[in-house]
Amino acid sequence: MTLSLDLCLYLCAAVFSIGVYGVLSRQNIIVILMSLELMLNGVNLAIISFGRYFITPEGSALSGTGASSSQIFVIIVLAIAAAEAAVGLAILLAVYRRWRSARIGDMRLLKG
Amino acid sequence: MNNWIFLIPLLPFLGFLVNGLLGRRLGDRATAIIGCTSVAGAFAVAVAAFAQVLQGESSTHSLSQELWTWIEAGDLRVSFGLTIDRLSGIMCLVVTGVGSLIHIYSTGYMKGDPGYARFFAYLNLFMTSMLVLVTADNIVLMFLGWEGVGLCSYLLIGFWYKGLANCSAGIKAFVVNRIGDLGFLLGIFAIWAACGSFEFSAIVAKAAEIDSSAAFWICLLLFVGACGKSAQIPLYVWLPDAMAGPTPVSALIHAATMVTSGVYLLARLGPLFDAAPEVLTIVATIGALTALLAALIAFSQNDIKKVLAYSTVSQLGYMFLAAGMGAYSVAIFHVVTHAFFKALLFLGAGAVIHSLHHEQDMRRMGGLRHKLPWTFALYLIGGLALSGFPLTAGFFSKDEILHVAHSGFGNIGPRGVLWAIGLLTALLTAFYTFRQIALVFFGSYRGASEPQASEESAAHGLELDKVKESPLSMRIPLIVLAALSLVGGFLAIPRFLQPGIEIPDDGKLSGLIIGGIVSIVGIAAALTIYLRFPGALKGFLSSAPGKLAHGLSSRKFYVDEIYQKLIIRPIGVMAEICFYVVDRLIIDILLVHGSGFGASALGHLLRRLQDGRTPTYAAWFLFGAILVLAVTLWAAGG
Repeated sequence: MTLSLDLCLYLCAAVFSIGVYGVLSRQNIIVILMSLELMLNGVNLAIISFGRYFITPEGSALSGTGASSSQIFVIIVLAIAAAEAAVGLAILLAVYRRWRSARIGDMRLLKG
Repeated sequence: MNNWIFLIPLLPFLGFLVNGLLGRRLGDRATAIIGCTSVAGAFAVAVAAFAQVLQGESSTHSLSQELWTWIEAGDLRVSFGLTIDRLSGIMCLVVTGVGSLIHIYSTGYMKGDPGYARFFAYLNLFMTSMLVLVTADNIVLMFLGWEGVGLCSYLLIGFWYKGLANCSAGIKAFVVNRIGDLGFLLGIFAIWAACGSFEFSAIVAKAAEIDSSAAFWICLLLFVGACGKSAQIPLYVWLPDAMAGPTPVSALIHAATMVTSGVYLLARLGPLFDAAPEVLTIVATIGALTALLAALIAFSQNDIKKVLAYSTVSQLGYMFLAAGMGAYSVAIFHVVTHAFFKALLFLGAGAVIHSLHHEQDMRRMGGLRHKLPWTFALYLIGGLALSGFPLTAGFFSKDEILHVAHSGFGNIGPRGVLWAIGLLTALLTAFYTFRQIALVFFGSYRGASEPQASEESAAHGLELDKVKESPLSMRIPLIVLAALSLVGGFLAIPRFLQPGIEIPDDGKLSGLIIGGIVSIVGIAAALTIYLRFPGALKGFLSSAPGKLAHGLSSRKFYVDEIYQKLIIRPIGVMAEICFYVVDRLIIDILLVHGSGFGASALGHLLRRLQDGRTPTYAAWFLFGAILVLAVTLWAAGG
């Protein structure tokens, strides 16, 4: 089985979906944050796949400008994901100190 | 003189303003003076204007004054313009002249009434409206006056507003009038469509060229309006009820002036009606039938004013009979003489009522000629004029009408059936009039002994020795009117107003003789039956045909009941449906309450979105993102 764009995208979709499932159905906040990371990484995969399989007129996939932009994009996303995870964890800590619980179901202040 | 015509309606209007706004403060005496002099002043101006019209070279000479432009919208222009020609001049003189007499009379009659100032204010407002009506040079302005007199009629009928019956009578008058007004208004629109102008001079000039079906509808609609105001079949039912108002009101509005507006309308637009002969036939027929019907009802009435009310309806029928023969001048002649003697009769009845401390039931009167000699003599003159006794004013005008019906007029041929109805009604008129005179002035006084005869009258009548003649302020107008009723017949009004057309003279003398005989027979019959043979009358009334006749007559041929069942109740039912179904159910419950309910139900539904749970919100995020993606792909892919 050759590695085609479709297969990469299936993987990406799978990873993303697992992430979505985790964000929506898990109670533990840390697990939610991890699932969020999963979603981000699934998208990263998709960006790379598209970069690899779409060859620009100038050069080949691996060294052409098309591939470079997708790689750069992914690096930036990763960096931002990291920063966001840090902030998320900081918020979690603050929340835990206040409510002594890391379950998302207990956070109901927004209920009107 | 042209520039002073506007004073004729203006002076009473000023009287209305002063008495209406300041009357209470100024006191009764000042109110009376202001009220009477404003009308007397208008009379003086009318006399001067009429004199000038008379001096003109042709019979159509007129004075006119255009005051201002009332309505202007594109092609349509209606001005507030007044004109005095022979016709409106005569009407003005009658309105202001008889009006002044009635104003003077009212100073005595309404004395002590808490609404004295209000009465004179309304009366002056009525005079203004009526004068606008008769002097208007275009039909829209005339309609303004028409509505104004209807309003004043309503205000004055319900003058003693604390009584529910009075208010109902006022409303009945206004509503029935309104039905006629609808016809009038549609007629006005039709006139615009057919003639392009509202001015009488223009309409009359174009009358010959109008297509005949247009003329038919215009005239028919206008006649409907006339029926409402002038109490003809089927819109006469308000006039008897209007007797709830004070007697001077009945005299002025419902005998001498307002009710003749319909006749005036026909006279004004004479050439237009001449172009629609079928309508004229309808007019004459309805006039004759109304005359007969009302006379039959007047037979059994026990209220002194009701007899006169039905008599008015009947005499108006005569006027329309004449108008329907194309003899508008003859109709106006009868308007003038009728104003004299009917006002006299009403004011005389008012004198009787006043002397008996507001007793109106004739069954509790009797023998009053000894106690009220002046009133008796003057009332007798009025009664003779109404009955068409030879040489009185009523004799000449009524017989002129009958003669026209018998021999034809202008282009319209004789109508024998209508003549016969008219003659029969003349006999009946003499009879019921002298029935009334016999009951009120002859015989023995029944006031103290008769038990309560109807709910409207007091518990028992006045004792005979307390009955006194009425004051001078009430007597002098009666004297003037009586004099006019005697000599008024000698005014050659028909020749004056329609000089071109000659009334065929053959049969004139025999007509006069027949009319005179009929009137004398009727008078004699009434006096004999009621004075000599009351027992025979009682016998007749207890027999089967007598009971039927009396029942039909006193129940007014059940017309009011028929209207109630066929028209008023269905409208009432529709009103109830509108109220309960449309207003309460559909609007209040379904729409208003329902929209509130719907809003809050929607709110309940939407509130479930905001449960404060982050995963829920995240799910909606996702859902939204998918939606946007789908829409973008669908739009792009196409």
